[in-house]
Amino acid sequence: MPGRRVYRVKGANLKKNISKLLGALVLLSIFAYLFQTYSVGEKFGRLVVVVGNIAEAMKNAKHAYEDVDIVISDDELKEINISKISKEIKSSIDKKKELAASKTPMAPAQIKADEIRDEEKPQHNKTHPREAKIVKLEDLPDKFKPLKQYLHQPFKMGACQICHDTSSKKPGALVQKEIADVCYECHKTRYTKEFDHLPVKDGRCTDCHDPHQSNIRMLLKAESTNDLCMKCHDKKSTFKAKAKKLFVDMNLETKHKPIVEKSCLECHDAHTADHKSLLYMDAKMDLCLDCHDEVGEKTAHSNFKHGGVNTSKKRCLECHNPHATKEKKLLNKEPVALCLSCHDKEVKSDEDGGMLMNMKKHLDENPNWHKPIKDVKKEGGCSACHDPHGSDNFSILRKSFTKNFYANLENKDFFCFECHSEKKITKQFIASDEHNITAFRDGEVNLHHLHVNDRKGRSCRACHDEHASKYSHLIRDYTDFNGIKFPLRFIETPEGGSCAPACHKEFAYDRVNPKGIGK
Amino acid sequence: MRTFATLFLLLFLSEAEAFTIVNPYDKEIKEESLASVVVEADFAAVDSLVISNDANETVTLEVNPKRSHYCKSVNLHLGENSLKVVGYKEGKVVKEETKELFLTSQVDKEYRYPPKDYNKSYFHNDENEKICSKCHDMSVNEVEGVAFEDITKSNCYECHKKINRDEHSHAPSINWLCTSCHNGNVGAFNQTDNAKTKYSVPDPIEEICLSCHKKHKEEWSKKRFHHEPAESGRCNRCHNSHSSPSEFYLRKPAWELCTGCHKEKIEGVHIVKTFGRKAHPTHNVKDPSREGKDLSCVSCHNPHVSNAPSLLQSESAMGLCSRCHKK
Repeated sequence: MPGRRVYRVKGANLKKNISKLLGALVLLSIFAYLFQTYSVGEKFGRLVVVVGNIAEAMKNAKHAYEDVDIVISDDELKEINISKISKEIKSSIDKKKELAASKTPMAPAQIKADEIRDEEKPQHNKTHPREAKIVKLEDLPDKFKPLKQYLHQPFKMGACQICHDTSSKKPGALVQKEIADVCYECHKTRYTKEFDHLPVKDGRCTDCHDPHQSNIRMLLKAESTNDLCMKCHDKKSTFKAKAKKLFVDMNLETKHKPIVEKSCLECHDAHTADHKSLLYMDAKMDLCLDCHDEVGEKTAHSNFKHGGVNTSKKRCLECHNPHATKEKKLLNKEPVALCLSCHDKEVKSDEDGGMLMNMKKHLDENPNWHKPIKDVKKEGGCSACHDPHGSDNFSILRKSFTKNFYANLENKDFFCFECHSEKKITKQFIASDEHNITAFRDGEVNLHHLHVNDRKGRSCRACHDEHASKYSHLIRDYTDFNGIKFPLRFIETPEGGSCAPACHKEFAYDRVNPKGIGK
Repeated sequence: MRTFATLFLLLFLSEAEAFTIVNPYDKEIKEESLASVVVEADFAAVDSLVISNDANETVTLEVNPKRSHYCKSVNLHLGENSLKVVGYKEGKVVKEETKELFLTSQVDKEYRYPPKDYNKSYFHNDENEKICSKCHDMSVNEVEGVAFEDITKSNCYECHKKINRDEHSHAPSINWLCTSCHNGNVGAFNQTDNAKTKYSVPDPIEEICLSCHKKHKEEWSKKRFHHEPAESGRCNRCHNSHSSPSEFYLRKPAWELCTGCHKEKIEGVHIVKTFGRKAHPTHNVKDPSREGKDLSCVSCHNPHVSNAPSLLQSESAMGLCSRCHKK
């Protein structure tokens, strides 16, 4: 019924025409969109090629290979080393045969039982084959009773003969001269890494392990792993080690957690290791970072690094003791003293090659110290401001500060204000009830504000030394301005003081009788 | 005839030996308004010396037998000065000597160029220092980069202390870091000073000034227009690098300083005439844009560099006016 599909357009029905046109356009655009997104064109192109190929093949349907005639002359044959080729072919065939043989299941044993017996008999060098004699547990000597929790397998079996020479008159005589040789008879893993534990090296297995029984796993000869280690490595132990550093004093206040909570074996291998001190990893840093990975991140990726940990000889161990110390954070020494043990000379900075000041000398010469280093116990010493593992702020400071003489303090997030009140700077006048904010004022005029809140505001370091000074209030004796050291010439009076730096002529201030500065 | 000649010679010698002015030389050009007078006097011939300048400021020096040399600083005024030293012996004038000096000024066209017969002189050479070293330590006792805790300890201080007598003193000067500028070098404009004195300052002085005032170096190079003295690096034309009664160590108060060269701006109408038929003031009133300061050329013009023509402080005309006329 084709008549139904014909649209009947009567007259010029513009509205209907337009809607039709629009519909066609929408359809077209949808089609174009689909064409584009599904890359129909490309697919169609490929289809054409494939169909073309099939058609081509059907047209020339002829799938027979043609013979190739090769004529080799006698002279050419002579040049070919047939013997070598034949050898190669033979060896490859042999290999294949071997492979095939190995894959096939074992053929039924054709060997005589006697031969097997010969093979299984112990092949000791000096002893003769012995008769097997099993000792029952009840028949063991009294000294082994009562039995402990863990028993050595041969002991449990009652196969004393495996280790002991029963034919000897001496009780407990071994089948071999050296204890280690007896042990290695079964425990075949020889300890062949770079560093050996001295008892292992000397073959004194029984120094640590009981060959019969123990209440501790691994048949240890002590109450716990740590106790066993401390038998020799305690400072008070009578063990005469060649080097004193092998002693560990675990009686000190701060102990390394893994030792207390787990055991020495968290870091050390009891027998043999590739790293010094029988450690699993490089002792200087890698081993530590295995657990303390956040510190590793800091040391490696900070903009400003501490040479003490990044480029030093002993890395982490420059400052920390891995076992136990008197100080917090397992530090080798008291916080400030520890830092000064390196900073007692000018040290080269890794970042810019400049020289860091001799802090010990500076602190020795200037008796008034900044509180964090003066009151170490409470404030934490140098590390109150500096992060010894590295920081993104210069001088490995924990927060930002400025190197500049001038620094407008607006929008500046200075480290100083972590402890010191910002009001010291921001308040222009200090009322009588707020006198504790700052003592640097002339009457009510806040002289900090006068110095700092200006177009050319001076930074804290213009007048104050962050570490120590011979004047009170950590006033510098010299301020560095463009590479020249100018003395501040600060003189303190009971209710004020005066300065005569390079910046201005001598000005005096007085808290009680104002001198009229800043008016 | 011969005896007469010897007598005359003796008379002349005795006359000459009463005192001699070691410094300054005659017809000397001065740049600072101070002259250090050094007189060598013989106690046998003279017992007091009176030094006087044109302003009739007199200094009397008593001659004593223990000393041979006497020093004193005397004030000078711009232009030609005559400095008179009179030697007395028991109230009678023994000898009178006058030295003509010329004090130049870079910021005053009248006094910028001294007459031809005047010459520059140099004091700090080995020969002169040998004389001084009888009383003074002539070595440099400055530690490089560290100012004196007590400035009177500086070896320069004793003879040159008056150089910092004015209110506004430049930090290196008041801290007696003399050799940080007086480094003995010479520049393109003072090649003739080379090796004549130990403490010459290069002219242009820019490199020394900008070694501390680093910010200027960066900022100025970016600007379009430069004032000639700033461009040629002769900061010391307008600034007295020692001390000055004017702020910014200017050689004169700003308005006077500018009009020293730009003389045509003193009279006549500068800036538009307003409806009141009065010219815009350029000085003698308060500057609304700078609290507590007087109006001067620098209220509208930047004395160093600017991106605006005529070195105006603001790039837009309205911006300039609105610095004061806020509405």
